[in-house]
Amino acid sequence: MSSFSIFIVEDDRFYGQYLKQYLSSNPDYDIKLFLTGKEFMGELHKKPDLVTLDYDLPDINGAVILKKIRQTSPDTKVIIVSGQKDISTALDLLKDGANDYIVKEQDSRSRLWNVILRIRENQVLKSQVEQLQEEVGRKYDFEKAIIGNSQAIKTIYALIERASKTNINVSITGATGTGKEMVAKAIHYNSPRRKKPFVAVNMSAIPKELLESELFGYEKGAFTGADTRKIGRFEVASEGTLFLDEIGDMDIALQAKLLRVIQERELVRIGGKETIPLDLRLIVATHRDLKEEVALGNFRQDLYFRLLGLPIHLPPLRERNNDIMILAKHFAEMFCKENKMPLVSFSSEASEKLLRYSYPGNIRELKAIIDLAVVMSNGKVLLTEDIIYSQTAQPNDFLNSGEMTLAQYDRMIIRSYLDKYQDNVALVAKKLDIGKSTLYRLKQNDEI
Amino acid sequence: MTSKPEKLFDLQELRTIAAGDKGFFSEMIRLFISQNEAALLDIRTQVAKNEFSLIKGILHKMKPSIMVMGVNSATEIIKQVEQLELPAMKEPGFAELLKQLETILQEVNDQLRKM
Repeated sequence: MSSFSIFIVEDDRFYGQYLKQYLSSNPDYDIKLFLTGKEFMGELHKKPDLVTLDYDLPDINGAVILKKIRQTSPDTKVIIVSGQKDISTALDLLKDGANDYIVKEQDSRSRLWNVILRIRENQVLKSQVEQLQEEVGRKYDFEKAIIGNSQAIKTIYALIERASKTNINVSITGATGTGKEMVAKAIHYNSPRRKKPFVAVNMSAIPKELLESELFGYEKGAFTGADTRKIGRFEVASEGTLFLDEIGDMDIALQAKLLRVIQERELVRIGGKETIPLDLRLIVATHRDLKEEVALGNFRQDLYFRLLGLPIHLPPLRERNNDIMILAKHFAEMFCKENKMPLVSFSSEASEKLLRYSYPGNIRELKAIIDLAVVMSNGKVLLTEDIIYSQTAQPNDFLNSGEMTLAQYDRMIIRSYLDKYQDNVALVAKKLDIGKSTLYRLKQNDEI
Repeated sequence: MTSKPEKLFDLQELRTIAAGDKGFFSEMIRLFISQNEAALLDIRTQVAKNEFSLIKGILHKMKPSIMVMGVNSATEIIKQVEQLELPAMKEPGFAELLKQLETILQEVNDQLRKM
């Protein structure tokens, strides 16, 4: 453990030396003794880890010194060591921020020792938590969490960076498996709120009748079965981020209550009377077209505009052809490392097969395909036969990608050929039997 | 069967804390003697001025070091005084308690000087 600084403030020189000598038996403790409050205050700027403070100093009252410590060095722990047994004095000092109160009695030195040990252990735990939080933050460094090299992904990086710098609401849209929660986490863990909670609620996973109590919490006795108070997800996410996934599935009655919470920045638990202020950042996600849902009367327009904030759309994987092999290689590497297997590579035929597929399940499906391919492979190179698609989907099945216009189909075909032949316009024009100038024009206008 | 007379003081706690540091041990003995003498002088002064409320504070301050040095008889007297209200401190019984305390502490100091 690193050095731990302790300041002893004690006007009884004998007792002060006694404590100092005793605590010095731990080589990790760096101890200084002060015989007056004034002397100590002159050194408080050094922000010791811990202060043992005699309440009855002749020059300055212990309560005044405690207050000064709290203002100047809020992280410093304070243990009051006093001859007074008065419980109300002890309670007042604990309320004012003292960490413990020890009466000068026969066993006080061993009690002090144990209290300091406990404080140090908590400090170590706190430091470990901070370290883990930093690691989680690094994990969600968005260029590491969201893999890709396509223009679409680069646009998303830029939007995540903007979103993480402010408290603006974020609405993330995209088909299932495109990484909406990953984006939400990347925003949170790169924002000033990263050390506060990230609370995710999947609106479609919770039964409608339970969703309100899950979000708002309830007081004891609010309804049959409410045996204790429950804190809702809004409160749990306090000072952090609340991620509402599949917001498009929210019941219209509950939408009205959500709107009120967002507008007023406060809530009342079910069965409660107390208004609870809220400070949180809201990110929502849906695979639905909310504008269409508003037109159909399934989603409130006023809520839609409140939630819109900074919109981020995640394209389906088939529109990120550049990224398919990057992701595939990343997933293969991850799987091999997690399962302590030798790393694998992809044959050119296996790569082509992967590039031709439409991925209705998007990134999640690609990961499942790659994990299975690594398991099924007999060697260090993944072959065509190792790439197994689910029975419901067909490779190169544009019709399964959802209905599109002819122009959209054309662009999709051209894009996939350009990706396959590394943007070789002449070659692609020849393969598709179209003019090179047509391809150049489409590229210049950002149509492909 | 006769019981052993209680020791006037017990240096075991101080020896434990000193952990073989003779310099520290001697310094603490010296400090204890000088703090006691100063406190007893202070008590006599306050008695002469009839400032009985201040005497409690002086005794309260002396108690921790007296406990460390294992002067149990003195600790008991101080605990008795701590229970007294101001009017009782003007009674002859209180003066007697103070006299006993002074006698004990002076004897302790004398024995410590001889060590």
